[in-house]
Amino acid sequence: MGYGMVIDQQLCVGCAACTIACKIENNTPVGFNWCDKITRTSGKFPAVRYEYISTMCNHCDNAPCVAACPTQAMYKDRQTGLTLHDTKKCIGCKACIVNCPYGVISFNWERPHQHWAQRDRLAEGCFSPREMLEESGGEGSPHGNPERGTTYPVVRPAGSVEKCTFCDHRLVKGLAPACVDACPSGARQFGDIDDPNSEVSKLVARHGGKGLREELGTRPRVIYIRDYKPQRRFEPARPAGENQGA
Amino acid sequence: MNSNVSRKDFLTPTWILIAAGLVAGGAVGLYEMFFGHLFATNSSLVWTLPLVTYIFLALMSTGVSLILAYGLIMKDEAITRHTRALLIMAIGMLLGGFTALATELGSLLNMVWILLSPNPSSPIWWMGTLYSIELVLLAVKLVLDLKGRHGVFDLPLAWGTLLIAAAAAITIGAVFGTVIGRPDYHGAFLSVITLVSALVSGAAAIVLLRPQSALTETAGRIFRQTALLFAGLLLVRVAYEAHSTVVGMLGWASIWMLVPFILALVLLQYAPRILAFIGILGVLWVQYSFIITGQLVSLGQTAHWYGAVQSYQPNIPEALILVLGVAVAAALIKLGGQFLMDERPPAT
Amino acid sequence: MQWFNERKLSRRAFLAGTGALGVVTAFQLNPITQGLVRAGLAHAADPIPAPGSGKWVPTVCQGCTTWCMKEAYVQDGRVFHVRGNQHSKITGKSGCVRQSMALTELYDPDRVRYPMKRTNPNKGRGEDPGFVRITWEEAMDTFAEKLMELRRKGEPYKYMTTRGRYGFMSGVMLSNISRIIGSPNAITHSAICAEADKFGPYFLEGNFGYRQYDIKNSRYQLCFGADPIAANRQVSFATREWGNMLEHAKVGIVDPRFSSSAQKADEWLPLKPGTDSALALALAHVILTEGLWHKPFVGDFEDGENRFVSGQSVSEEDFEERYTHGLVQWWNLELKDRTPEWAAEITDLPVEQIVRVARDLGAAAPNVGIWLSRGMHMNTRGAYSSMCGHALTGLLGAAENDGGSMRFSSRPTASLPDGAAYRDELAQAGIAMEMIDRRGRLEFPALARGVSGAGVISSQPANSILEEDPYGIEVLYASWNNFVYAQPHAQEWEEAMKKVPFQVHSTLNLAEQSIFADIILPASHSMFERWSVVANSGNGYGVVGIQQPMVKVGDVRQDESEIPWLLAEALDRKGFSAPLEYLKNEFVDPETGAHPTNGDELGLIMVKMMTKPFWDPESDVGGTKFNSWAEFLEAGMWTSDHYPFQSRWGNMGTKTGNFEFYSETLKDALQSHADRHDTDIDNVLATCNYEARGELAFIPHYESPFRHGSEDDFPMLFIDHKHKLNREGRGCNHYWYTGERDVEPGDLKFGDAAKINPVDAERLGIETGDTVRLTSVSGSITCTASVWEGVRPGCVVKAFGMGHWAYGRHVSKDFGRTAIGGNNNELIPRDYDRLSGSSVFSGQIGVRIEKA
Repeated sequence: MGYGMVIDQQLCVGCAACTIACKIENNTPVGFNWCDKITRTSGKFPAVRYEYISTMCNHCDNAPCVAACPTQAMYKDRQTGLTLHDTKKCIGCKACIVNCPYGVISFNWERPHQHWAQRDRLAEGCFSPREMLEESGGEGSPHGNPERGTTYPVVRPAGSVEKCTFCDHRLVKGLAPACVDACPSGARQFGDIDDPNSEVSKLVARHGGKGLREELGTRPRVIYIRDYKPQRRFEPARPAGENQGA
Repeated sequence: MNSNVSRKDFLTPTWILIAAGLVAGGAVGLYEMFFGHLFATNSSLVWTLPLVTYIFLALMSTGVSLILAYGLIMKDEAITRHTRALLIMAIGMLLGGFTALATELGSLLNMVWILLSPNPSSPIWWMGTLYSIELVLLAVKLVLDLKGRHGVFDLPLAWGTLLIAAAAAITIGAVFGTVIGRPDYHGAFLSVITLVSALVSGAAAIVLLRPQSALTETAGRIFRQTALLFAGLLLVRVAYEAHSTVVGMLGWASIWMLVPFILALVLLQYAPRILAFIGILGVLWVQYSFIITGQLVSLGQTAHWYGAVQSYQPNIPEALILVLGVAVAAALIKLGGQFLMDERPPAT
Repeated sequence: MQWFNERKLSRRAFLAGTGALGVVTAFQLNPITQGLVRAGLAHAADPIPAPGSGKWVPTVCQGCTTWCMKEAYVQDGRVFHVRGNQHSKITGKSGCVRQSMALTELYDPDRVRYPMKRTNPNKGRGEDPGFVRITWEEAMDTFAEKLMELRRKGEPYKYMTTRGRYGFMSGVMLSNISRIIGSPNAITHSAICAEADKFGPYFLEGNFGYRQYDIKNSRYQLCFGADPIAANRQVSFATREWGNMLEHAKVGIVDPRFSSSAQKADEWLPLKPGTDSALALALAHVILTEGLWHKPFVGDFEDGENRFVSGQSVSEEDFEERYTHGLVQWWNLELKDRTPEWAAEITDLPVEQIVRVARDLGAAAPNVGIWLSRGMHMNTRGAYSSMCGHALTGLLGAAENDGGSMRFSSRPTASLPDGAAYRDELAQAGIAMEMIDRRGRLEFPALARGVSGAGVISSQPANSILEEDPYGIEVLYASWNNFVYAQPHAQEWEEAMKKVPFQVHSTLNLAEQSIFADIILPASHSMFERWSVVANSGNGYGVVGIQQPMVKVGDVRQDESEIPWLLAEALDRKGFSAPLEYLKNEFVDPETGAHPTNGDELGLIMVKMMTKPFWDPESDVGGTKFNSWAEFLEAGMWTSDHYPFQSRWGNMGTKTGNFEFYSETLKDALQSHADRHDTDIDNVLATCNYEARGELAFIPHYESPFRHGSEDDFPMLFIDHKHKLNREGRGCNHYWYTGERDVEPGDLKFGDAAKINPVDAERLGIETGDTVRLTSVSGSITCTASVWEGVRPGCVVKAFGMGHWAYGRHVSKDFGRTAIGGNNNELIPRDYDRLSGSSVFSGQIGVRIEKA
């Protein structure tokens, strides 16, 4: 048994719904995206290509971050295949960040969400960020999701790293990760990728698929299938005339 | 033990400088540890000048320790006569390094998990463990030396420190060398670099800090030899990087890095302390260069936040951590010199 | 101070009141823990709620005009996730990213919390209004007093309401009560939205509205100036189906910008801006010359021999049309010369591509979607672009057809009482006045549904106010809008707003409009804090959903029910009882027969009244069957039966009943407008800046793009587009927005990018990251350059959404004065497609870019 995610690039439209859903679910501060993206624009006008690759922790079987962590704060959960993190054990050495080949781990250099503690208002009758935080009752930010707190701090302490957990707190309740539920195109599928009969495994079997930087031997658990760009594409020839300007 | 220390001994220009460094660097360090964030870092470029300071001082300490152990094993009088002074130097530098490291470790209080939840596959765990043992060994040696107990323990202790120190220096290299996703780090080469740079900087430090004819000559010889070796290694690296086609490799070595070591090699006898100082700066440059360069290429999604390749320049708080580390080391060495040495050094 | 005596309804007490959910509240904790919670240092919820233990509450998203049915996840008294309503046959649980961005509005760090009044009489950018907090009572009394002053002066028509994002109940406050007071000036935003989009479909096939596109069954989807997976319309549905559609359909995207949809399309047609109609006509030309039109819909030559040959006229007698009208006239008058070579010259697209697309369209007919949107027709002379584009739908038999496009499915909400009986003589005289937007004048035909002056000219009031023609405006109520930012040539609105002596702004944030306001009212959030009814259509279904209060952040009142009630009460206190009588008498709970006693009850009653056709067991509107209001409330939405394809063939609602390539309907409309002004149609067209004369006026034809600014002074062309994360102009004041702005390729995090092609960048010596100044005939803004291949050379592409000089700390560099980046609307001049009344946003807007 081991969870994995399959992302169907043909279905993905690069909308970042996953990124925002993740920010909601996990209360990530400004600049921290557990779920993020790699984008590539290539070619020359008008034969331009663009690709959007949704990224997150790959929950590698052979996780460099886990190997590098001196205190086992970053660890593999053998039951689920998840790569998880324990903020209590984290000494903030950042070895996981340096070792992760995907750049998906963030470090809390200071107490996060501090801009929500600002007390100044734009006008007397407006909320200050702090008043909005108090009114909402959120922890850290108004988006501080208490459900997150069931397995991981809603606000990660200063001096700790943080990263995607595949929404482990949701998995125990039989829910899919927030990014999967939020994906409007159904591009994200989640399940037991170690079981060849699971839906995710069948998708990989049908379309073929690969993870990011597999050549490093990390054995990532996020697998991408099909292509962002349509397969049968007509190369637009450059216009014949000189009429290139607008 | 020297008990003839008076307040006047602390009213020297050196101590005023050290105190200024301790206060300025200490303030930055405490602020960074407990209050806010001052360093020029982000989630992609995490190990900057404060960590370089630690590596630099720890390796220099290692070098001193290695040379001392060598002297004890080889029974080289030129070195063993200065056992206590060298122990004080090694301990001072190591604690200076630890001080710098403490300012950049996120959660110092969680260090207990290094013991409670060790991860032997982690080079950082080995590095921490080895340097802890090293510190204990150095302390034991110092206590034994202070109590004048020399005898059966000396040789095993010397061998112990030699092996532990060498392993520690190699492990520091492995912290970077075992990183798979960053071509400027990956490989065994950095372990060789850290070990040799430890010897170069350690020998140079002895030449710089302990000007005494016989010792200077012996340490100077080691300095010249290791500097030659280091220059050779750098040359190999420069050549390798010039021909490398590894994607994502920026290259950290520069032909100019050879200059301080060749200078030392040729001219050491004319101005040993100046050239030793230049050699130490050269080692710092090399260590700084490889540590920083290895992180400049943004991996994956971080390119969107920080650009495909970052540029880094230490800011003033980070520079003050370098000052802090050096000041702590200097203060401890000075204190050791003033309190623990029988012969009083002249007030400077 | 009075407000301290008002017992604030705590958020959770409020929730308990609505029975939405029961949770252990932070307010039951000891004071120290409370403090920690308030400081964000401790868990608010104790015990920690289990994932999934919250409640999904139905509502409707209004982040764009799609108005998707939603459910919001409420946990611990807060809203976290939003998803598509599981009962929606359009989206199911799918929902585009904007649904989540709604939370940035709800919990905006700078949100308006209390009513405020202005203390600095000087109005203008950079003038601190000096807002101080007041009570709702004082706010509404002041508002009512100003209205009473107008009535006492006999000038109630100098009251204007402006509408931005609205629910179906907004008319009570904005129009019905205004009319009882005596003002005709309920100005909607529709003409800066897309009235031109409705123009072509109306005059060709009698559909004054947006279309639904059956992309699930489409075999070719050709989008003109539309980016369906990123912006208006149908984003959630299009997103859900796009990747699947690529399996069975070819996709072509006509856009000078490499849009999100172009990135995932088979063909990108990066034409010269403003030349879409030339492309559409050439496609039609090829479709006809190669015999590819859909004969079961259009008909055929009697002998089956194709006589459509380039440059040659055809005899009308030879062709027998079926469900269309005027094909041969269209050919003879226009199409015969509109060859691909002709279009290639104008559009700068290769002839091969035009021919290939035309052939592919023909091969896929009738399962073809011709998707039109703002980029094609929101420009000077855009009415005819709209017709050219939509004519392809007819030619290919895709109108109302499987895999094609159809009008919105019926969504028969009950209408609310209009209060006509409560208008006194003064009111009747007031509403008989000419409207402030000058609709219906010779130069403003605004032919909505073919009626002269029936459409709104949303951008015109600022100019009218400045010129005091027909008169000035003295009291303004601006609801959920920010015209000072959102209207083209926004600078003019700044000037106009300085001239309006009393303004009330109902708003989430202190926006640009607020800086000119005298009273600020904290608006309830449409999705989460109020009652309303909103409808939509897509995927062959019509849907009607309710918005309901589920949380409450700040001292807000529901803008479509409580605010009219409070205003009516205040007017009543001043001796003018008609509005309150209207609300009390005419609104009756259809279940209980009760009349409202306060605004909150009014809201619920209005929802029940409007939705009665759906939940009343006696009703026979079809679609989802509910047995009671409670059952309907639980689902939160009703779905119609599937749209019957081809049912309107021959009964299109045009003058001839057919799809009119030669629009008799437009001919009548233009004639009646000309008659009204005692002139002829040619003069109407000349006055309104169209090139057509004679019969060309009634057919889809090419009008050369009108360029704003000379090529010498403004050598590049400006392309405005809507950012994927935009909830129109709102929801930007949050790091989710600014930090993810680069989700549009070429855009920059925390910045505002003007995107240019590397070819131009090199020529101009501009690099990514440079601060640049953009200048058009309308004005000048500064922003950051970004060099990106996805821009047609010669164009400057910039996403709308940043450039707020007011709104909040995340988007304004210096609140009230300076923006981060610049507002596209300061570059876009005020001009119109006058036949539809639409404002110009696209076409050829000359711009100069230089390093600042």
